[in-house]
Amino acid sequence: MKSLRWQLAAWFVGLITIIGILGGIGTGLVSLNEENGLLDDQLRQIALSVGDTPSAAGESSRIIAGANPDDRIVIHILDNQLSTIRNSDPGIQIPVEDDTGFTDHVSDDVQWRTFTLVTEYRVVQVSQETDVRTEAAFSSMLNTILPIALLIPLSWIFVGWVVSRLLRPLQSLAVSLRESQTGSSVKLNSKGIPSEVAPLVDAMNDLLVRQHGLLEFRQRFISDAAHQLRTPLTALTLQMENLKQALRGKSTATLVQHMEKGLARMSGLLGQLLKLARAEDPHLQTQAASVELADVCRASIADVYEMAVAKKIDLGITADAKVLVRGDQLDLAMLFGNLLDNAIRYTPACGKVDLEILATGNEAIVNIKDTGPGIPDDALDLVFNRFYRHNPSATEGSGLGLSIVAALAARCGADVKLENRKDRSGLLAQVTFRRAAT
Amino acid sequence: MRILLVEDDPMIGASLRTGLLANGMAVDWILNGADAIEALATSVYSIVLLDLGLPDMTGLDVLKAVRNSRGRTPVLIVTARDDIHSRVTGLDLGADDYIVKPFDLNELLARIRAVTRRQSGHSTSKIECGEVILDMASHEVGFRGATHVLPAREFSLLLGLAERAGTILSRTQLEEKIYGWGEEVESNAVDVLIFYVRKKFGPDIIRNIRGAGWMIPKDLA
Repeated sequence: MKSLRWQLAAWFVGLITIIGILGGIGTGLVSLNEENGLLDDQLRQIALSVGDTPSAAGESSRIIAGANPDDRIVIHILDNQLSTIRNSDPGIQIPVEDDTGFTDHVSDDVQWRTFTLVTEYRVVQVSQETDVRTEAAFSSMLNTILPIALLIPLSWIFVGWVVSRLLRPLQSLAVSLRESQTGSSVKLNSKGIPSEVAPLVDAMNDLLVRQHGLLEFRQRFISDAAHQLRTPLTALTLQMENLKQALRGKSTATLVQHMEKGLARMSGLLGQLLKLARAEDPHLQTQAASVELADVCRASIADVYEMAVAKKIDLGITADAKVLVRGDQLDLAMLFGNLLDNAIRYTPACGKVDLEILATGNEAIVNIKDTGPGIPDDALDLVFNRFYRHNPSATEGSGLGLSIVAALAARCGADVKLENRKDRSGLLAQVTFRRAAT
Repeated sequence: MRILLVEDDPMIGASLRTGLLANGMAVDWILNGADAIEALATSVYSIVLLDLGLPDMTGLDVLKAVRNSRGRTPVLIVTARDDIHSRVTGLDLGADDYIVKPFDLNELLARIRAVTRRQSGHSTSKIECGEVILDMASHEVGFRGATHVLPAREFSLLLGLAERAGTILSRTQLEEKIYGWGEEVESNAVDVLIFYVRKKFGPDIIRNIRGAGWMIPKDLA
């Protein structure tokens, strides 16, 4: 995925660096040129000051004495007969020119820049070693380039800061979008959002409102439909019983029994649908309180006790740590009730269902273990889906039990995990809570 | 037994009436709240079966009106709304019981019997739960045909369980019910009491749930 921030930063940094380098080279070249001009002027000034004075010897010796040896300047003075009056460094042979002007010479592999001044009385030749000149020119060039070179990395840091500052509203937008999916505040806050992004935020807000509406509609529809179905279903149940009484003793009576079973199943499904609608209802006022887990578990066990007895299943608690969790008592009882119901439903007759309550540092764990066939590992995640039934022909479940469990657990802030037992065949349902303060 | 059935749904009303008539009850079927209040003011019924969703007013309004005019007729609410809130509101307003659609005719009949029996008053000293009958006055307990007068502690053990029938009580909870503050309790006291009770009535009178505690099942049918 392309990051806007990195792209912006890369482009800015690249651009600034290129401009900096080009600018540096430009000013460097200009300063190099200027420095050469200055040095040439210097040679001419020396030549003029020596050539124009009547007493050439005295003046030249003062200039020569005042010269810095590092400057490597050689002054050669000749009379109008071209015989040397004075030479500051006789060891260096530079040919004497006829005309006034600048020339370049090579003497003993050293390059010289020379200014020749031809006057009425004498010829003055002032020469300087080109290397010294170049050195001076480069050092002056470096002096002009250095600040620019230092500014480039500084500009990188600045660009990084500016870019992340400009993009910060987008980041906070992403955060609030993520929060809005779970929380109740539907709309995104468009305060502080750049005008280019504002239309996007508006569009997203529209979408969020519509999505929220759809969710509410679905929620309401399930609940309303289930409620509406109750009345005809009740009527059917009653009519069925009237029919059964009318048919008592007749051979057709057994036919009614099948219908009765189907009706009972439909009632069960309807009940589960309503429970699911209620468990998922975000507007439902639940009464969260600190609840003793053992009390809730005992209540859930009492609810499924008859079912366990009918299947001769040994149902019991193996560990009951005293621990408080936060949640609605009815939600919790339904959560464990559904898990126990499943455990008993899928455990063969004469099996065993154990419940244990454990307390660790800041967690409370309820484990429900059965001795049923378990669930294939690849189906473990699917069983929380609505209407998913791993083995549809085996028992008469609605396929909603675990969806209800998941919704209730989410409301209590608990975590539900199903896994196959490692010690034997069977399923382990584990519900993990955060402990409530005592 | 004369029953006032207040139900606006024709299907449910008709089939309920048929079912109740078949079980030997007299049924007056009324379709709205105003007529129900009038019927209750003029006639005497053993029980009112009251639907909460009526066309002209809610069933709770009917209940309020009846109770405000000092009507003592027992009311059994029949409703599709099974949230705790409306259940509690109904009972607070003076309903005697609450049954949620869809229900079984047998369940309804059992509840009608329970409500009218409670109302008739001759069982005030008796607590009945499932198959266990406790007489508070004589400490006499009946279970599956057997009747025994129990010593105080055994009786209070059974009473504690019967009062919260269908609820599992732990050893500690039972000890709290049987013994007073500061009384020295032997660690196996509860087991001993249960042993004696079971010896008299058979093991089924008190159910033991491994690791959880003891219970008397709540049995309506």
